[in-house]
Amino acid sequence: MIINPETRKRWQRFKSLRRGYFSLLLMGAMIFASLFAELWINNRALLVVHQGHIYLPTYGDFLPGTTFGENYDWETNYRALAEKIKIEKNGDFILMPLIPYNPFENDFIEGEYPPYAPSAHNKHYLGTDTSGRDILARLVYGFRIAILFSLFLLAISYTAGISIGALMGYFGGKFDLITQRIIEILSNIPGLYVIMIIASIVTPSFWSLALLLAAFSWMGLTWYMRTETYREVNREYVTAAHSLGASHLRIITHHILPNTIAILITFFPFSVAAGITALTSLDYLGFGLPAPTPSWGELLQQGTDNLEYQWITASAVTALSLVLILVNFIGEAVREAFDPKTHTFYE
Amino acid sequence: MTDLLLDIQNLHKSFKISNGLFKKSSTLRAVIDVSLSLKQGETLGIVGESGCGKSTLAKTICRLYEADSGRIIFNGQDISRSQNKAMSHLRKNIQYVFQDPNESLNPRHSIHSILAEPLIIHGEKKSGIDTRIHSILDKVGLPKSALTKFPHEFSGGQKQRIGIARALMLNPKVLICDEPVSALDVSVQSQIINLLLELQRDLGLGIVFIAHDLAVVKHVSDRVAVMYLGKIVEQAAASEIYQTPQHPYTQHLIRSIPRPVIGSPSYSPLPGEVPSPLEIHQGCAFAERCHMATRECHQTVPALLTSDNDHKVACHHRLIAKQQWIPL
Amino acid sequence: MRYIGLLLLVISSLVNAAALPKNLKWESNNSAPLWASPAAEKGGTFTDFILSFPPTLRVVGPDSNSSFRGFINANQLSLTSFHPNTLEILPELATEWAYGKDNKTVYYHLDKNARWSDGVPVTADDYLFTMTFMRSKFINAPWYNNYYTEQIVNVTKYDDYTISVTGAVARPKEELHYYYGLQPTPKHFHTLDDNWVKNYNWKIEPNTGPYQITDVKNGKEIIFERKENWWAKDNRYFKNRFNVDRVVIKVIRDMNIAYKYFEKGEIDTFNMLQPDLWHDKAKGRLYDSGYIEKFVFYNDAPRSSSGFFLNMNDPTLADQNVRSALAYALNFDKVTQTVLRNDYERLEQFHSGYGEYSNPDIKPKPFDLNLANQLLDTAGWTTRNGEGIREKNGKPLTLTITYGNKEHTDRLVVLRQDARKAGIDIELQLLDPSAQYKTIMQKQHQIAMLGWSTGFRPDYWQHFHSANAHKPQTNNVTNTDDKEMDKMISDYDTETSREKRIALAHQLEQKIMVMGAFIPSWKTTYTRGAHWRWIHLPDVPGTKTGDSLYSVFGDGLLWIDKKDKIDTMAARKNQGSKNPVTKVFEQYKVK
Repeated sequence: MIINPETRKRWQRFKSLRRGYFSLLLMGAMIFASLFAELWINNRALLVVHQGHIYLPTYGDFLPGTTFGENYDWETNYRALAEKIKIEKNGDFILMPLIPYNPFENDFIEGEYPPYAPSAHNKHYLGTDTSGRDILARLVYGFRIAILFSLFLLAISYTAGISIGALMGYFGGKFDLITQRIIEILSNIPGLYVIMIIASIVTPSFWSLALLLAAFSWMGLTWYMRTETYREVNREYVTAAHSLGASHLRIITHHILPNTIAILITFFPFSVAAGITALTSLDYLGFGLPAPTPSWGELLQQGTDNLEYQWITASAVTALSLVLILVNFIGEAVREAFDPKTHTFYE
Repeated sequence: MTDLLLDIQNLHKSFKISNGLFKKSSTLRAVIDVSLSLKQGETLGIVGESGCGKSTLAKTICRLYEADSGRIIFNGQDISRSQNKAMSHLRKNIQYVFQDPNESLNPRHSIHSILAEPLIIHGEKKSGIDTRIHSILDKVGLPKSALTKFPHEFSGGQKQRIGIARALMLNPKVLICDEPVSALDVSVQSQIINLLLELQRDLGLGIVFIAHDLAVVKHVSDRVAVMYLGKIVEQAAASEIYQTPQHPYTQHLIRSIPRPVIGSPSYSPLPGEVPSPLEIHQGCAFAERCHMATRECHQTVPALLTSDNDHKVACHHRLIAKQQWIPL
Repeated sequence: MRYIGLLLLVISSLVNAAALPKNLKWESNNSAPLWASPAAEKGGTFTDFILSFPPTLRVVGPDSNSSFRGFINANQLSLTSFHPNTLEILPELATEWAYGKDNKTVYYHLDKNARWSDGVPVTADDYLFTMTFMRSKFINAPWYNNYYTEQIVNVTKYDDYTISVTGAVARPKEELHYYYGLQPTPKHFHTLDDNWVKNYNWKIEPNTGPYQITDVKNGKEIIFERKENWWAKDNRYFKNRFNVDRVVIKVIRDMNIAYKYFEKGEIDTFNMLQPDLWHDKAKGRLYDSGYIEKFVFYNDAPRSSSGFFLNMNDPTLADQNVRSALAYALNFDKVTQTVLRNDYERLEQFHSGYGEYSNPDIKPKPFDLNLANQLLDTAGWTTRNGEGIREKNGKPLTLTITYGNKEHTDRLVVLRQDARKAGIDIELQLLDPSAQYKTIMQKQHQIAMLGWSTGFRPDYWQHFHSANAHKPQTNNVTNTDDKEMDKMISDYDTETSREKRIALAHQLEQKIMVMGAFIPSWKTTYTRGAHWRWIHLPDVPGTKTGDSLYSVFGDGLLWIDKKDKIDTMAARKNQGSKNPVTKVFEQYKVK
């Protein structure tokens, strides 16, 4: 794959901006860690050796208690099993993840009422929420859901925005005029309120909420794409492609898009932040994903309803701030890497 | 007639310019009743000042614009209205070389990509592509190392070679070159011109060479056509045009060629300017500026008539003009 | 000639007017103990809140059964009422009453002073109109149509201020007043036609009680004001009650935000049955300084029928084994001990707290995972998928609980976790309260989490009779359609003997438990809350049968000390001297 030297230069420039570059690395590490959250925050053990057989319960079907000699046939309580193995020393071996809780379990302490303060002894390093669920688990799994949601949202709205914007710029004329009017009308509908109304009548799912949000946010990119496409269409290399017999589709995808969308990468980090914020806001208001989905917005809501238990609000606010700050650093660095002033050639 | 590569008959092309919401739109007549022909291995030069409609004519021949009326016949086939498969056939045979090498190459495509594109569009097999690219690179005098580079890494002349190479990829029979050297340094111009002539010899191409510089056209063409405000005013063999121009405009153009001879009288330019192509002319379009214009010239449009030796002129007073001409 | 005319007139009036039976023993009660405080002062504005703006101001017809209706009903008086502590019959719109020998009819002398809020006198015609109104198809209220045909059979006018009401079944005296106690309906106000429902959505109906609506700010608040010359203000049992001049009901959609308003002094009182409110929020400087006081009042009243209502029209829930399994898979005790801080008790039956009518032996299904698993195996949900959820024909056992109060989420997520062990996947669907109510009234839910308000005696017909099944806008939200149940209900409704009725009620409770479409959740045996100290209450601040200390329209016992309010609002920003006030009243505690 031949990489355009201009692209290479931009990447070098980005890498040279240490703050943005390290933010990207850190963000990438966080996303990677959350994708494999089951390996380090989970109530399922990583490895159990029972009577000579090896079990890897993390991924895959649940293992009933009877598998390990317990007398119940619903999912094994691995923490209790770990205690049992420690005491009985019967040759079995169990390896639990770093944080042995999943984001849904209600872990109640006899005689005390939740929420419980952070405690290394209980391995609730950030404490629990009002239903006794581990906060760190809910943060990490919630982060995963928020990032995937945001990326999925991005994929849809960018694809729609880029395609329609490019078509508007390329074909112009009546198609452009009519589509512009439609976009103007759609842009004026207060999307967040409509989503809230819909969500109070029908509880949305992950996919339906993403599609709903995408329906109100795809318009943003069309303006940029339209102007850029208009400009490119009149350039001679497009006429040259025509003279070679290229189809409209080929001209748009091979010639116009590569020359216009490079700069969209500068929007990308901010769109990701916007997606995370949108989901968090909706969850905070109660119009987002249904309980008991782990969500930063829901954690924030619990926190503000119970300000006296500071660890709930503190965790949610810190996590959200960290992610948004990182994203902003990345976005700034990308923008600077694309700054044309350092790339103009004079002949 | 049958061995004519390109036969263009009575081509018309005009554009509607909108004058806002409430005024009637004006018509810009860019190409008016143009008839030309091109033989295999022959170069036809088209000359004229800016705005005379040369580029429009070139693009119309190539079907980049759709003609209003008239016919374009390639190798005996009428391609004025062809679509789809026939259009594809057309594209393979008639190729265009652009004026500005900086603009006509996609800055984000590598040279390999640019050269491979015509073949990919027309469905060539991958294995054949690289072989063909290498052979064409050879022909235009570019090294293989150019393939992985990008347009901005080359000089103007090299870029134009790439443009020419791209045009040759599909093995066309006709090359339409729209002012291919106007944007280049003088020292590079002759290189490119010689390249074109070489290619013509090698591949038997028919070339339509469009320029505003008579000196350049003379060097390259077998036949020359002179355009003024969308019409062909004179058409003849290259030598004839330069030695015995018979149209006042052509004569003016030739006299205007700067000559580095000490003591030669400097030539005073024509009065007035080239009128706007939006204006509708009754009579000869050149009449306003012509020193021998009569009332007839202002009232009747002169037809393009053959005088002798396949020399066509559109002037009421062509014989007088012919006689008045003092060769340089 | 004149005499003949006069004679004809007399004869005709005799023929048209019904005749009162002879030997009626007219009764009244003007010596029952008073329960309001003589220290009460009139005046001030009382501010309270509701979670959702009512969908209509009508009291019958579609969407009328919202919580706001209680405020409107409280201001419509009846012929007689029950003493909240001794349960004696007290006069209200009637001054005296007498019983017919058939034990089905009660005769009433109407109070000639009674006026509608627009000044029109309340007369016998308004009671006749009630029958016309409630039987009319234009009000679109099938339960009322039925009740005022099958249960209240006839109303007779003897003169403008004497009527009788006849019911379907002979009953003990106090039940006659409860079941056949009629309210007048303003004849001059209602036009009954096809557009009645639409036209009367936001009309303010004239009433006979102490307060009337004076302002409706759509979506935001509703304001009541006490009538200046309320016709009954000097009646024996109304003296020293209904003391505040103005009541503002604001719409605040979130409980926690409403609580913040309370702490700012913009809401006067706050009911705190919710454990987290009472234990976590009701503390701090304002409480320590005594600016806000806390009361706990044990009562002995019918408990709200609260819990999970399973829609038996749903194919999964049509199977009784599945319904029972769900009940055995819900760990209510775990929730009670943790999220609810042991403040609540488990509700054991549909009608709890109804005295002898409640079944003393009945117990709800306990938490028993083995039983739950066995029942689900029997029901054919034998295989478990990768996540441990049971499947049948490739479909997982997913049940959706529709609820309207976000404060319940904490309880539901705990129940959900343990239910997974039985292989049941519970999905939680939180809707806006109005949206939830609409969904349930349309019978589009799978499981509804609800609590019904209480009555005088257990009532089964509206909730469990097949006549109300498989149709929208009825309270049979389980779609119970069982012939045996229907028979038991009609027996109960028509039985005259008190002992036999009690026995039938007990059997019905047992049948409801076995059928399993209703899973009872929790009850409270007290009411508690906090109030700013300018709100004063009598020495015994509540009543035996009252369900709130701060019922400004129902009991109407509280009054505002205006000077104290000014002083407290000024002082509240400062740290006062330590003087926390928490009082517990156990007079009426059920042993």
